[in-house]
Amino acid sequence: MQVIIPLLEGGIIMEKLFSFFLSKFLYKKVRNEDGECIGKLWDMYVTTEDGLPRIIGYQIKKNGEFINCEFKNINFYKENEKAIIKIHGEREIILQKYSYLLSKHLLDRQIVDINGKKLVRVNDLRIAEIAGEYRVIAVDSGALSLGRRLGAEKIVEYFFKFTKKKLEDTLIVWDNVESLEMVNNNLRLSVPYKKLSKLHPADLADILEDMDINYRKRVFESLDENLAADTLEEIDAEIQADLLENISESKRDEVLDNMPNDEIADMLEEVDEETAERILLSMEKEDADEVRNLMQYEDETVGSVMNTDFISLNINITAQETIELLREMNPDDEVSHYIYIVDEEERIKGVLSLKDIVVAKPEANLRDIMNEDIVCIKHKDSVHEAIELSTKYNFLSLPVVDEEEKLCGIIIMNDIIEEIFIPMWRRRFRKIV
Amino acid sequence: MKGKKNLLLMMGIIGPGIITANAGNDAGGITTYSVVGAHYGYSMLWGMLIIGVGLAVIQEMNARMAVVTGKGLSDLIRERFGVRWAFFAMLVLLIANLGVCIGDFAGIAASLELFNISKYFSIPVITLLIWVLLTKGDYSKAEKVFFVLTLAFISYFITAILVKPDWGHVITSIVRPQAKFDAGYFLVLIGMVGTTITPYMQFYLQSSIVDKGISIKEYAYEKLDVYIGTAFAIITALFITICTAETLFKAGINITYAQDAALALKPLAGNNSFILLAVGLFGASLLACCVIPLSTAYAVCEAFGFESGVDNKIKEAPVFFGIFLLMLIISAVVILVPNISLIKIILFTQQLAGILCPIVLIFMVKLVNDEEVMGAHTNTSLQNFIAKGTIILIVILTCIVLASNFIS
Repeated sequence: MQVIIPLLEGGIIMEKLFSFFLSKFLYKKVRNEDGECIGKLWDMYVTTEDGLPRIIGYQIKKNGEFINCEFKNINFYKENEKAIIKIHGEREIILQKYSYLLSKHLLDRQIVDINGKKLVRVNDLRIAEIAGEYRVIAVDSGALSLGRRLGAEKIVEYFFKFTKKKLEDTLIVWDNVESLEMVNNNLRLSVPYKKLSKLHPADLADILEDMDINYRKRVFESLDENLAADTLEEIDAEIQADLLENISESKRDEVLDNMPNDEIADMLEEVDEETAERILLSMEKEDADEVRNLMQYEDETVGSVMNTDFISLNINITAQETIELLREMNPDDEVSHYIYIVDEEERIKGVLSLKDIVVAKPEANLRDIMNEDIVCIKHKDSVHEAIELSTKYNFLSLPVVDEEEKLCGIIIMNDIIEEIFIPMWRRRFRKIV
Repeated sequence: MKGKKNLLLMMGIIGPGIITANAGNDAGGITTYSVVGAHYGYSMLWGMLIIGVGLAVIQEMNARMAVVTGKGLSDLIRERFGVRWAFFAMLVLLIANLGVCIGDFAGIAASLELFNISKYFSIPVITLLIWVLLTKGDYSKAEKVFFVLTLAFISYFITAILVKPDWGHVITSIVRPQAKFDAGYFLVLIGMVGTTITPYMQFYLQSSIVDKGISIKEYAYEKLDVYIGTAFAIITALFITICTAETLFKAGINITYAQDAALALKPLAGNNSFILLAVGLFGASLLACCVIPLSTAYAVCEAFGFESGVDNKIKEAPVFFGIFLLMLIISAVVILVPNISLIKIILFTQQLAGILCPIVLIFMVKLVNDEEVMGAHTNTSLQNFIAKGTIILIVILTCIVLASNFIS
């Protein structure tokens, strides 16, 4: 990457650098053709409009005053480890359109490392010349860059040598970076948090948990409602409550619209009463009533864990009609293992697996092909019974019925693991080492 | 109904301020306030009032920064002042906190010595206990147990009323400044500042409010929480001083050992007074010995972007656990030095914290007045006057102490 052009000037060899760390040159003297110091390099303006952040201007501090110049005719040299900045003819400009200042808005801030799926701090920035333009190509978040900033690079190197640890390459390529800082409304990044939306909701949830509340709120509100809903389900209960209480009402309604009612009920149990009541009032009455019912179940009963979005179809339709209905509903993966068959009074009559439907003759009636030998569980039974039953019969999910034998939900093994076993397991094996 | 809801909301928010203020009444606090009363009677109460006002304003600044920015103090220092200043601030914090931690280890040793348990036995065991508790155990439960132990300090409130002090005299002492011009007086005064406005408290308070995720709408409650906490901290200090002033000062006894400090509770508990002191001191010191290394490790990792949190494995967050362990070990080793005076160590570490405290406060004042950070929520001129006044007062006190050391 680094091309070296020796430049002989007064008998001293200076290397022109085409790739360097920002911290090597920040706050260093800027000299003109005659070698006079015209101030110190204070900051650089970049634009993120076309790919990697492109440097379009630099800021010089001279006698306590700031001068903004166009990023032209400026060269960076190294002379025996000493950094030298030379310009020939600075042109003062007023920057109309830029995304942010490198030192002020990016250095020392938190960013998301998309590849490593975590929050890191910007210790340094790698800048390189690409096709005649200087661009930020990578972010450094490692210990070595911290040492460099503190002027103690050597000490950190020795320390790593001493402890025989390998100095890991901590450069994060800009493509894998998502900047969190939106400077102010005028300088907003063109598309906020675009890269984050490519992450898996579970990874995104981990990152959000690490963020401070303001970032978290802004990032969350920028996600589209489907992703926001999926992510919210994965977030820690305490932080879920926090987000629900703090995001805008319109966003909250959108997100809740996209969430299954049982998840909403779980979340509302964590938030304070006033907010829960407000949220319930803003929901459609039918959904709100269902959520209220779910919230009344005691802990560790089947009702408190069950999922109320499930597939139940009338006993009198055909396999062909079933497939068409499924196509229309496009249900979530976790509820599509079994199709439950009910009569006019919503009483459970039979069950079919997705496979049964697919292999059945199109004109066959569900009544004739369904499996009538159903194992179901009462909504007020304990989840432990549900676990016993599903493991005994190897079911991925079980139908839940109320006192009148009406199908009121299904209980999914994965939910049991998530809500019962994981918390228990975490309490017991709080892992260290 | 509306009132009840507000009360519930308030109960949810109130907490960080009161807990932080209570954490200030650790070994350093109890010992310093005891010495204030025992050696100088009521003559330092005026300082307590000024420190109290300063503390209220400073803690409120922390709370406001937490609510407005959603960021911890070391986070803000790093982002606004860059990596070098952050390094400097963290170094100061590390030294001050290590001092306070050593002081609290001394508190553990002193409290157990009252039960005739040798420090050579108690300190290694307790060090191991803290490490295991925070890495493998259920810390939040243990925290509650320690907290209950500190309730033994309520005995100071009862004793203060039992000894029937001349309340008129107490009040005039609070409002009328007076000073003895000897180096010891100012040194103790600095210690009092250090133990009341401890640097670590500012970091701890701000982080715990951030963690609670309190929004600006609910800020009024948080403000109340901070003010109640401060008032409680100062009243506790006042009552400890009254107890020791009425007993030890009148009898002319200086505090050199923890037994001496226990005499202040004699009017209440007679010859068993040492049990009250020992139990309270043990709980408070143990609490502080967990909280201080933990909050230091959090603050440093926050500033430099290292992985942090007790839920991590040690390999995942080596710096975090490293700082924590190092502070525990250094503190334990210092206390195990033979023939070291525990009371002197406690007092000295508080004075060190007092001297270092303005550095943290200067960062805070600059941050809280920065419109890019705080928007419309910068300090009012009265808040600035009090905050800056507190800083200047501490610096002057430090200068007096240093100067008098050179002269004598």
